[in-house]
Amino acid sequence: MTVQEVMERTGTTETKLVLAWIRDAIHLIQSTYNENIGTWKTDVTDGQRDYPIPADLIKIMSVSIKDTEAKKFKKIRRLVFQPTVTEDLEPE
Amino acid sequence: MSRNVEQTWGYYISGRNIQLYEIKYGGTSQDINFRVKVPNPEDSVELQYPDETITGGLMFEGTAFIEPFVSNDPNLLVNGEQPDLSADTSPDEDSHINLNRMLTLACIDYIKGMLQDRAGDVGKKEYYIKEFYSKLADSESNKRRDIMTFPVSPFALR
Repeated sequence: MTVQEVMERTGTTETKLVLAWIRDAIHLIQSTYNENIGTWKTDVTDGQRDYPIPADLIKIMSVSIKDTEAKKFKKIRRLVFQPTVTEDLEPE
Repeated sequence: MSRNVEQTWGYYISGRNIQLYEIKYGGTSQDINFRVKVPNPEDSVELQYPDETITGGLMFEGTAFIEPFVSNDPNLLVNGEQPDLSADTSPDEDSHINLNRMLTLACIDYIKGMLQDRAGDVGKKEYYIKEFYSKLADSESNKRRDIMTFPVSPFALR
């Protein structure tokens, strides 16, 4: 369906506004249901705790770590509570 | 070498970051595949930062950004094949929305809702947003076949 058909069905003539609302609607759809699923991989660094969530990821479904012995990615658990140690000054 | 990562790693979401932890049982993450474990006061659970480098070792899975506008209709086969969709970087009225037809109809309800919102009619806006979510649910249920079964009491005479 073209944008023009959408505009005719909604009775509006403001193209830019309709384009923006379509973007909003798609983002809302992606936030609610799993319409387009992607994966992102990054390195795990020794002693580094914080890793940024990918900018174009909308809803996290799982976080996995590579099991180098089994050569498989396996889902890891989400910690519900923040650990007591807020910063480790000498990580092993 | 990482092993049993599903049991020995965890993450905590902190704003725009995740915090990765290795869960150490009694100071080691190696011997936790026990079936019966006798409580040992020396065993303690400890969280520590990752203690090894794993190339490409962290994977996120989730809903991804989707190109909202494409140059071809994503709902029409081309000579019996899936259409080749290329992103429309400067969308206009001739661009196609990169969704299936049901979700596109949901977008129409969303736009109608926003138009009513702008006109100040919150009641109608709520109606159209409800229609929007109804079509989302309809589209989602089209992907799976749910079967509902009801238990029947053996002594029930109806």
